[in-house]
Amino acid sequence: MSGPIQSGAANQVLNHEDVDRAQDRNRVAEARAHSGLRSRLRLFWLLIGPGILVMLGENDGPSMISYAATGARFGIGFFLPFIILTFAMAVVVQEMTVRVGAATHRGHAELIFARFGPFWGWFSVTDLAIGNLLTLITEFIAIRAGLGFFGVPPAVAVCAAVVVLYFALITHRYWTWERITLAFAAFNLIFIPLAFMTRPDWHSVGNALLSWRPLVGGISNDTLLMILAVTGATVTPWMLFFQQSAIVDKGLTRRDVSFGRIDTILGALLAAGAALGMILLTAPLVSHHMSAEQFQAAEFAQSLQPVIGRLGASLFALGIVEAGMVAAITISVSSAYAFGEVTHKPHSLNLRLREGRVFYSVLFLGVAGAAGVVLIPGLPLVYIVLIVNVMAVLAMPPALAFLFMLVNDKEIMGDLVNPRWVNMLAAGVGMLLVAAGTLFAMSVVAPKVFAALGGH
Amino acid sequence: MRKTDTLDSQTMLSALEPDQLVSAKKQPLPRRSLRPWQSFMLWLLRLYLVAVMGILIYQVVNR
Repeated sequence: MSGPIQSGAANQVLNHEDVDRAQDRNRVAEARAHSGLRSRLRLFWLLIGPGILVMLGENDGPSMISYAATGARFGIGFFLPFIILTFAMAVVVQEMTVRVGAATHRGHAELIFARFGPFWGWFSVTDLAIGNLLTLITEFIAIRAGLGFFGVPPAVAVCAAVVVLYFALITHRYWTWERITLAFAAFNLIFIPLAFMTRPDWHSVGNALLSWRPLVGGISNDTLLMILAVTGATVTPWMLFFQQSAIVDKGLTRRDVSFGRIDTILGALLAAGAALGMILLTAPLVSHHMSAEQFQAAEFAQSLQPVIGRLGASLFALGIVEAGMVAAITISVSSAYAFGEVTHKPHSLNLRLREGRVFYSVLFLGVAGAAGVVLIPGLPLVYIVLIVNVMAVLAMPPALAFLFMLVNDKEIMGDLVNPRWVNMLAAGVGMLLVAAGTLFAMSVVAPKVFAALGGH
Repeated sequence: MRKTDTLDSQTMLSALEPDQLVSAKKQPLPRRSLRPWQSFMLWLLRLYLVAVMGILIYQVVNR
């Protein structure tokens, strides 16, 4: 089918994007019309996607490297329960984007511009653009690092990744893109069986989860940086923009919100499993005193080889490549959605290349730009990885404030407005993030005050 | 032939909510007015972001 369709009855013009979305919605309506377990499972299969993608997408290259560095340096005592807390925070935040997307059928950037005006809109989108570009760079660092384990030269690794990304992004169909990316993302779970290969002491794991021991050596600027990096591995601004826009592009409606919630929680459980797996996997390296600063290219995989064998180390390296690839896809898509929304240009993965020139240009220019930066010699790539995650946490409170105000906006949300208990949870998440950022700032500019508060 | 070619436009229209159509999304949503405390909060968070990012850049430069 090509070109717009004129519907005589309603005098509405349907374009290619509408037709593809209508086809998806028809399948949902057919599944919903039938009762029985099989139909419910089919409905579940049709409606899941954005939540799992956003959560596994955020288990990206820098996140997995941060988890690896954390496990290698601190073991499991503090960070196992801490990671569960950060994923609980992510569920609270992302569930709100499900409701906003389903209720308004508008993307996050578009809503901020429409409801708060261009002044706040540009602030918000500029934060996103800077954060996304830097994060994309770190994804290519991870891809380069992972493929480096197999001896692939950096330039070849980065160019190959760009080609794969190109083909993954030009399906011209949201549904196809979503399923391909989900299949890619499933490989993130490889860190769970790899963790089992290290034969963890399950008694210690259970003890760590239940007792939540404080960090060995107390809190310092260095450990705060690590705590912020791990938090930034779970809760970041691009996730808000991506999931809401993906919900809209997928065509979810108010009736689908419960499935959107399940999708988000399932995604968080899977991603938390992979994150915990990574911590358990690298915890045996505590005795090697590994840290993010020491991580160069494939050092983690090489260090793990005596513990999990050559096959395990290869799967570890491929897991890092996958983490970078999936996040590069989802993050570049979130940038392209946001740019299209604020410039009122067509923005959908259902668009053909010629219909969505601006949308696809932003996608590919972002990817190409980030890939190019990684090839600049002499850059402190590992430090960039850590800092980008920290930046994500610091940028989160202003982004969360817009989401908080949107989800409490009765004019657009109607009966899907935030209940009071979710408002309290969301406010708690915001305050925790501000407190963490403030503590980090104090540890840098006022170390004496920080020490008086118990740090050093 | 794709499956959609067999669907008439009326069927397609009924599958989508009216405000899901691309043409409907071209209608801008009305702007909301911010209460003073809301503006204050947004400015405060903006200042927080500038301050902590400045400190982070300072740490990166002086590492």
